[in-house]
Amino acid sequence: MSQLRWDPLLQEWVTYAPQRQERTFLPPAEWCPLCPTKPGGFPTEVPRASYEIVVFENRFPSYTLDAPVPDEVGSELTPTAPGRGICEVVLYSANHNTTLAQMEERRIRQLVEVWADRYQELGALDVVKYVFIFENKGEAIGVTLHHPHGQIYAYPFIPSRPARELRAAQAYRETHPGQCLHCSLLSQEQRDGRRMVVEGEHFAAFVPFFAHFPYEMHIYAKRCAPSIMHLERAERQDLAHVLKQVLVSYDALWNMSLPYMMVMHQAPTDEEDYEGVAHFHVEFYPPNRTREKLKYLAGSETGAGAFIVDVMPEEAVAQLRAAHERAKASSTEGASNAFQG
Amino acid sequence: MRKERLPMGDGRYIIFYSFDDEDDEREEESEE
Repeated sequence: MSQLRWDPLLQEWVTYAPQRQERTFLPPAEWCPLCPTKPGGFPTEVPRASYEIVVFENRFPSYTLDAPVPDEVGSELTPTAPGRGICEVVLYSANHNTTLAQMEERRIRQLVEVWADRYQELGALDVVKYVFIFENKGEAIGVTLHHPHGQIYAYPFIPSRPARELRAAQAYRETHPGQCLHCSLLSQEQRDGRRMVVEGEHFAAFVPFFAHFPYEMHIYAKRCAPSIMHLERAERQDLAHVLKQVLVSYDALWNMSLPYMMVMHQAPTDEEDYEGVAHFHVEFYPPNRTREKLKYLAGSETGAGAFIVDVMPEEAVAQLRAAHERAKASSTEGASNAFQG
Repeated sequence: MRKERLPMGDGRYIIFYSFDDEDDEREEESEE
């Protein structure tokens, strides 16, 4: 069972979940545990012959609601805690051979509703302090199942990266009364214009000035909404639209299904007030620095926390804009599934 | 959006989300 151990040097929890070592690893497509259960076929995780969107508890979770209090291995300096939380799997489609980028905008819009519902339901649990919605795509990221799916971790703590962002936003608000750090960053990008990729009515996608990965993109809500749950109907529709545009641009970049990590940052679900501090946004970190070469988090990035990036954001955005134009042209020609396989 | 929550038999739960055309129609009407 999972346990948390406190790292007093980095001031963050580390989660130990040795039971995950046994998880299913790259099964052949005909034995995919995320596909529907076919009549007469082997029982998958989904006991139905078809489905639209499905959410279930991960068979190999990093956190569970019944995780026991760890044995007395901790100390005042290095405390421990039970790894209590929930890990969910979100199946985007019954179709094994598709990706989020290839799905119709309508399905992504439905997914936005599901994500919002999960944020609300999981965040209402006393033990859950942060609902983290994410997708790891591609073997380059370490994906062990190819079926199109994302995950949700409902953590019993606020993870260190969003926590750093929130502290920065809080500090900014104290020196700039009434202002949101994320709104200011988005305004700066919009005024500058050089790194913008997609501009919707309610969301905007851009390569951040300080991108840590060569082709990193962020999607910011134009209104300072603390979470996906706070988005209004038109905003949810536009989020689906801008997400789709970003995804097809990535696939058009090198005419391949681009691996990525997609993460959502939003308000924690503890008792604090994050109005004007938390600002819902999506971040994409593709691991590629070229079509064939990956960016590794090596000594400087992992040991020093200092990212060295091989591509200037302004160069990356030029390529991504061109890819976006190609994707739009391809879509107009009715070849929206040009990147299958 | 409809939501059907079922036990998986091993202590876990599974939720089936389904949508119909009325969801989209309602959306379009509200945007007009």
